[in-house]
Amino acid sequence: MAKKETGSTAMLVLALLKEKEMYGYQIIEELDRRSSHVFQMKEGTLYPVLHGLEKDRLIAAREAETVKGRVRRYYAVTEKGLRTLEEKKQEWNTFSKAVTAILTGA
Amino acid sequence: MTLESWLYRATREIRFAPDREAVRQELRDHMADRVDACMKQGRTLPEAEEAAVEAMGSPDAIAAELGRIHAPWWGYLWQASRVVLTLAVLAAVWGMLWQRPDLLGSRPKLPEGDTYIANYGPEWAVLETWHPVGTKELSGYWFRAPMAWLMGREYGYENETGEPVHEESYYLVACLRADTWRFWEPCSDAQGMVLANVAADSEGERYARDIRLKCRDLFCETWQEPFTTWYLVWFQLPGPEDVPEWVEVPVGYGGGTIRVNLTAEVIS
Repeated sequence: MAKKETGSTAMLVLALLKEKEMYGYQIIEELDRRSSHVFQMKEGTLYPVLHGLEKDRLIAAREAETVKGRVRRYYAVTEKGLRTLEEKKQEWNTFSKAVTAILTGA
Repeated sequence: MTLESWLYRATREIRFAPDREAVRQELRDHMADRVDACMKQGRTLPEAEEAAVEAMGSPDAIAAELGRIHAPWWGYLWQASRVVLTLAVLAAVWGMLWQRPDLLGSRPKLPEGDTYIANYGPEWAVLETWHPVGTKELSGYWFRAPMAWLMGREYGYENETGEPVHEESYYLVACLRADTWRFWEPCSDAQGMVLANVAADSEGERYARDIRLKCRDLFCETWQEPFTTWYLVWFQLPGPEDVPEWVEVPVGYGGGTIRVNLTAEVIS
């Protein structure tokens, strides 16, 4: 069984794919745009994350050919992926509140 | 580093070849998108490719991760199961053709002979049947004789002087099949090869189509199916009590004959 993907990149990918299916390059561009260029990850590192999520059945892939003859691999989140995303969101909120509390001396 | 060398290094840990090629293609398309985007910004192709490789990151770090995720065994198991399934289907079809050629619907229903013999008219009666066993190989064809039977008829007519004439006619019929897995090479001119020769029996009688040879009458019908050539060989007999111990069918193939032993119900 694949190692359970728990990283924050996985959470961000699931959040993006919750809105619509996307291919790898599109995910990179969308992360870059929405984070105002803060999340500029090395692009190749996205694929182990995607394939790990797919292996854990949190996302599913389908292939479609473009007019240029390239084969796009579109990823979409599964029901299991949606449940995992909710769990990760809660973990993140708890973690975020704890960090904020320490930083602000509350 | 070129695009292709980056792709090679990044995917080298994926040991299942079809997976490796699929992942490589996905990454290749990603880099092509990046190259297009860089060129739209005014870079030359070499500059754009260099930027695309740089943007992808270290291929070695990615290779280890991809290798861990894409374990080969499920892929090999999946591929092996497809091969096994294909072989099973082929074996089933082969078995069907071998054991039940009548399922193809192209030959008369020979077992017990009823349907086939009925085609010769109601005056014909089957007096005795045999089911010889055994197989004989001749030039790559496997001959068997699933059935033989004695059939006869009685008939009458008036001769030139108006006197009634009663006659009887008897034939021993040997049904042979020649199987080969080389479906593109059925027994060629099977009928001609039998009828060009003289058949014999255990009593020293000879059978031929050519009436000038003054032998008992010999006739042969053949038809072909994938993998199988069928023969019906007719030996004329004077009476129902004259069935020989064996008959030899000259099927050709280097002078080869198939001896159908009716007493022992075996071929050799």
